[in-house]
Amino acid sequence: MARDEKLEKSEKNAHEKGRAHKGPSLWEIFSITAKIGGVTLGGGYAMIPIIREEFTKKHDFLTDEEFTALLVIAQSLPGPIAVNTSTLVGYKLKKLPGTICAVLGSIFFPTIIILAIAMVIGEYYTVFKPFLNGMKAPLFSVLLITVLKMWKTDVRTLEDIIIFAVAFIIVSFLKFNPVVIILLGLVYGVIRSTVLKGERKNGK
Amino acid sequence: MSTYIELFLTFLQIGAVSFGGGYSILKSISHYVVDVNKWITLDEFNDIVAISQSTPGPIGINAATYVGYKVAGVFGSFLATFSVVLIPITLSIIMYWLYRRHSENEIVKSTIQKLRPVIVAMIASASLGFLQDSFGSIPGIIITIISALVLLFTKVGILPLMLISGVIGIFVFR
Repeated sequence: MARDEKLEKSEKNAHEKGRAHKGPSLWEIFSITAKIGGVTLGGGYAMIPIIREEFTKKHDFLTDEEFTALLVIAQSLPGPIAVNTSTLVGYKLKKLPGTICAVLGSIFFPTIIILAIAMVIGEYYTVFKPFLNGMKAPLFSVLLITVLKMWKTDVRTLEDIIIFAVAFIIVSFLKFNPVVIILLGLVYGVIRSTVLKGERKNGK
Repeated sequence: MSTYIELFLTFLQIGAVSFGGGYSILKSISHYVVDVNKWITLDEFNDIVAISQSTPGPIGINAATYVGYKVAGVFGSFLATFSVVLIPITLSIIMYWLYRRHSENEIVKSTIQKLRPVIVAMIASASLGFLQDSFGSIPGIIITIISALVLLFTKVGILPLMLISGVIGIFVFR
């Protein structure tokens, strides 16, 4: 609720101040997201402050509140956060054409670079192999420590631990389809949160 | 033609459940691409993860581009990349409208919260795919242990760590 009001309010404010968005062109949307997508290594949350900076400060296309409201939506959905955020920013600014340009921009350089590597690496695989093997050696630690860090915030109750253990075992050792397990987790989450909501209502 | 359809449907499904971003998508990709369809080997998949970590872009996009190229050339790489983001983009736009009209945000939020342990489990499971790279040789074991300590106790990022390890690899993994 509060978020809704915030969104409307921020839109109203922008109007009252007489600074209805200077509409960016589609090319501007594409070039800004392409620039961000091209320089941010590793992707993920590292990109968010840069996207915010570009769209709210450097170019006055969105207010900070508007960006935050979009970010909340982007985080709750599947998909890379950078792509979801680009989708929403593009849509807010220029509807569907804006979305298309923003998404194409955000994946432009990543796609070209990987495609180039995929084309070259086949030819020189034996040359690259020792380097690649070296690069792969720390990945187990990288993932394990990611798990440990997420554990602190995401696995808190006994229920969480059981869900973790069941999901981990059936996917790792019984080779269940992870896509199905995530969907089941989602269904369970929906049931649990609607039940919780009902309980809270009854309690009041 | 059927290869294109398979590529499309596979990455469509993978993208549809890529909650949590980043590493959480790895297990879904390796399940379909390595175990079920056998488009690439686990070793090759791990190569892609390593490459993806040192190039711009989300790991899911990078993996889709690479696998798409391996399976069906340049068109395949564009198709797979498009497929993996199609549902996230569609859902983003739908949510943009829902979000302005009703506020079901609380339910969405607590649902995602309940899903978090599953996401963590997927990343833990993905880590097992790297056991051979990390513990299959003496230098590998040493790099693994040092990497864990560096990541836990210093502010050194993943990228410099992997590049240094790659350079070491040139000498020890020949």
